[in-house]
Amino acid sequence: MKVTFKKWHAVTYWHWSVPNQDDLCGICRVSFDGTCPSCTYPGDSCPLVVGESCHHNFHMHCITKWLQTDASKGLCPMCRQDFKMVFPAGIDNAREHLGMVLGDSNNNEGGHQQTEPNPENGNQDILA
Amino acid sequence: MAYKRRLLKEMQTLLDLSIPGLKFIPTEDGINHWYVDINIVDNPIYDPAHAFRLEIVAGDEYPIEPPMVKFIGQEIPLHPHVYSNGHICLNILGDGWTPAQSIRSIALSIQSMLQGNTKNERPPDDERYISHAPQNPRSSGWVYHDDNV
Repeated sequence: MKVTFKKWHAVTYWHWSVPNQDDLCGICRVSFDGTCPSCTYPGDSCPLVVGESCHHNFHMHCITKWLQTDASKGLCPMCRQDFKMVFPAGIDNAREHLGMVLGDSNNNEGGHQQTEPNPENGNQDILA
Repeated sequence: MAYKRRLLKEMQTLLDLSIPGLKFIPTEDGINHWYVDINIVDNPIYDPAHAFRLEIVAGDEYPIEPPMVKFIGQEIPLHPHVYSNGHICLNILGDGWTPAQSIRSIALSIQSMLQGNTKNERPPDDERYISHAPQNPRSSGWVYHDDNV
């Protein structure tokens, strides 16, 4: 028997590579695959970061807001260790976005530039 | 209020919670404004039947900034860190705050602070403080000097 595919409908989904998929961002309490409160599209435009020594994850926009306050003293909200932001491997655009957030923070609060998530650039785990 | 969704989530949990001695009461002012009635059952300093009322107001910058928290009502609990105007000297309400804490965790901390209290007295500078204290305790410059109580 010969089978001829007339149409092919592929569906993929992605999620951030974090130790526990059910965990929430400790600041906004939204899942990591969702966005911080200032963003509309999850993915590269609202990336995750991890603390170098404590390994706690946050939406980059959430933790940046916290670390920019004097009260934070540069500490992780979860464990009060020094929080050194590390961009997990594969999150290429995070650094660029951080520059944008810090540069904008004076007069454009909450108005992060949006880009459509692009599942093809390999920045997230892609599961088919 | 950027973090409105977080407050909505907290509201759902607070309404479902059952913690002995704590009763979370929503107000008509909105999801950022709560009363918490606290009963202390196992400390002879306090009448177990009496509920002390705590007022918690989360501002626009919550949870990046801590909420405003104070005791209100006729009877303010006696405690060396609680002033007679209801203001509380507690580091997590000021520079010990982190956004990982919540309305629930604050209420629990204050409940356990009263539960563990052994001194039936006001802070030594009570009179001086309340004579010039601002309305909002967050505007006071607190010094946290006593980790033992």
